[in-house]
Amino acid sequence: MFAIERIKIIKNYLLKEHKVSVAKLSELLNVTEVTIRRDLEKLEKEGFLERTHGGAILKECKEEEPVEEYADIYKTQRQEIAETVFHLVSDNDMIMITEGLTNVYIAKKLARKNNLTVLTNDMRVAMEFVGSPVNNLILLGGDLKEYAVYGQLTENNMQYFSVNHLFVEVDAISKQSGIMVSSISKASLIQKAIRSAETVSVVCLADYFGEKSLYRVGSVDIADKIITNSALDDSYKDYLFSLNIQVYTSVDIYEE
Amino acid sequence: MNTPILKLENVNLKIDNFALTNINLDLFQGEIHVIMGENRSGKSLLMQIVSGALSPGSGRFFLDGREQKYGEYSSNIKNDITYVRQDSEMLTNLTIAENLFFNNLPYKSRILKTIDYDRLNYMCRELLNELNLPISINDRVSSLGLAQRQICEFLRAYVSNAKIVILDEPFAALTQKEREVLCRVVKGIRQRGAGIFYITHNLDDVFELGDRITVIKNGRIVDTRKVADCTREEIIKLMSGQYIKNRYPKIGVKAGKVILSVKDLCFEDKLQNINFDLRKGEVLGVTGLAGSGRTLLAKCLFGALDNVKGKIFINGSEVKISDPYTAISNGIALIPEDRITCSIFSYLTVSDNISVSSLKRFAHALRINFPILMHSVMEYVKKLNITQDPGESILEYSSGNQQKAIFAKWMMSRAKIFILDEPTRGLDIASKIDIYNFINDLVKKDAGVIFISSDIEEILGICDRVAVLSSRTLACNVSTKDITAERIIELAATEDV
Repeated sequence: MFAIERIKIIKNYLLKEHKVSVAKLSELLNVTEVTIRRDLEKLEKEGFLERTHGGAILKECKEEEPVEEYADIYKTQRQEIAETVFHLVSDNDMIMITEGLTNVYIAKKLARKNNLTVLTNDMRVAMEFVGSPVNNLILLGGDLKEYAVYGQLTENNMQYFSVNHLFVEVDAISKQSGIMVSSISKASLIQKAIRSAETVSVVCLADYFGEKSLYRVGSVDIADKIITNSALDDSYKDYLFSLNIQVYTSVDIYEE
Repeated sequence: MNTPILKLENVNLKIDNFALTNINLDLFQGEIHVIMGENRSGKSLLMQIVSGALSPGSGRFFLDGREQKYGEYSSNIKNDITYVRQDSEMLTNLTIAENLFFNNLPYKSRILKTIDYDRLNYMCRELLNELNLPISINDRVSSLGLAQRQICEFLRAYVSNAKIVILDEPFAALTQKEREVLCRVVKGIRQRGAGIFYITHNLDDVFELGDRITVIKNGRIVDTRKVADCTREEIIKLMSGQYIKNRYPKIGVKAGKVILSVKDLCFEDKLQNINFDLRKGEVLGVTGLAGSGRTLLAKCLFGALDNVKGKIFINGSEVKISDPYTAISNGIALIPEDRITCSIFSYLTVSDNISVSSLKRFAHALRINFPILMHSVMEYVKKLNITQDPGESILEYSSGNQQKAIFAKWMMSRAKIFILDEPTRGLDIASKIDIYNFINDLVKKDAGVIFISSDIEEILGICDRVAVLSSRTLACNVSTKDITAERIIELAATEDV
């Protein structure tokens, strides 16, 4: 049992710091350097790391991660949220996913479903479904801004569809100002999309609650569900519950 | 009307970031004055001031029409008031009769302090007959369920002859039938002439019992009205935000293989022929009136009772669960109803309480590796949103944080079958939502959950299936999609004798 715990901690440490010394680990874990060397050897065989003189470095990931301009500090939180959404969507559902980085993680997860019909305005979301022919993807048309399309063309395009479940990612939620995003075209698109959806799920990182963004989508109660991560402030849980909104905090700690 | 026995004027109190502002409140003889408000609106704080336990910042106090300084008020009122709180304060090793008349025991000889038991039992039986209560007076309090304890607490208030009685959320965890019994006792107290402050969340209580109602919100009194002049809608409006279905964060997990299978489980004459299966990734709700054996069933599955008959299969193979240790080593976890006495080690810190069932994970060469243990504990504390410092004693924590620490303990031990007995009872809303989300994390990763609750909306909101305990057995076991709240109440309340 104990070795498993140790190896988990070593792995976490390396994933964060990319390199580590034997002495550092021995001090951190309160075991002898011999034990640490044995653990590192084991991890090297697994292909997780490469041993160096007096320590180890993380092996570059074999899967080519998309190159991001900056390191995303919310990667874990976004993955946790995606895991929750995976359990809110059933095979055969018709859903819409709007633009957003968390929504891209959600798309990556949902690509493992069966016979979904996915409507989106975000090309990154669309790309996640490229290798998944069992699901149907419909990409809306319109004026491209960075990764997604917006504008009159997109909104006209959208009126042909009606979905079971809409996932919108937003930039801020507050008690005073409701749900907010960072561009007028995004606010307008979301407002239109809400009209043709049965269930509306609003995706927002916990750190963005109580923040401000310029363009208002609407009051908080346009959401049926709010999906966020476990750092959500208690006062918001109270508040959202009193508005009869289902609050998902995507807790991820239990180990199978 | 005549002069109120108690009156508060312009009372103000500020504690940390919470304030009671401009409170005006009075109470008449023979009156039930309902206090309503959401959690943390300041009800309990106000009652502490009323009972003389907490000195306010400012305000005027009147007893029987005479104004008094708070110091004088608080020493005068202490003899006249009985405050019944949610958590039981009885002497569990004594019998019901002894507890009821503890302050007022009949003696054969005053000098030798020999108790006149015949007289005591007579007094007690008279009392129970008067109120028509089916309670056996010579049982020890420790053998009672929570509901029966609450009835006894009320009876103590009844026999105490106090002029003022405060009942703090008495019906929080009770079922319809027990509520009727308690209502009878409350009305008895009123008939005796006492004034009652009655804190509740339940609208039905207001109309069944209340003479006047005061709604309190964020430390301010919204309004005080006569109940007879109010409609339900008006009170809901005053309260704003009542309890409604479909706000529970439920996720859909495809149920997997049967993880726990119970065949013909019997316990004494209290549980008979209990049969059910629990699948991986499934939340099975169990409800029923208190005394229907909900807690007993949980204890049977956890090996905490002797003489349990029947078979238990885990992952298809039969297991004899003779004691809790066997249950734990078979991956069964129990979160009991009574948090303080059964669930926590009150003299230990939070981190000790969390790690206590998982020490094997951290054992190395016959000792515990504390750096690794603390590393893991901190991970759980962070993810489960346990706010305070884990080095503190667990008793210092709020009930929400205590309950979350108990969840952390069993999650860390990697249990596979979670039996939760009233896990959200008496918690604030934020903690409740946390706990629903913990349950989501469990089922997402293939654990099975048995969720015992008397809150039917909560059961319908988060369970996949619901089983109703009635007449010593399971009256139904169906998908929550196929049953209504009314049907569940009907099943629970129908007893075949």
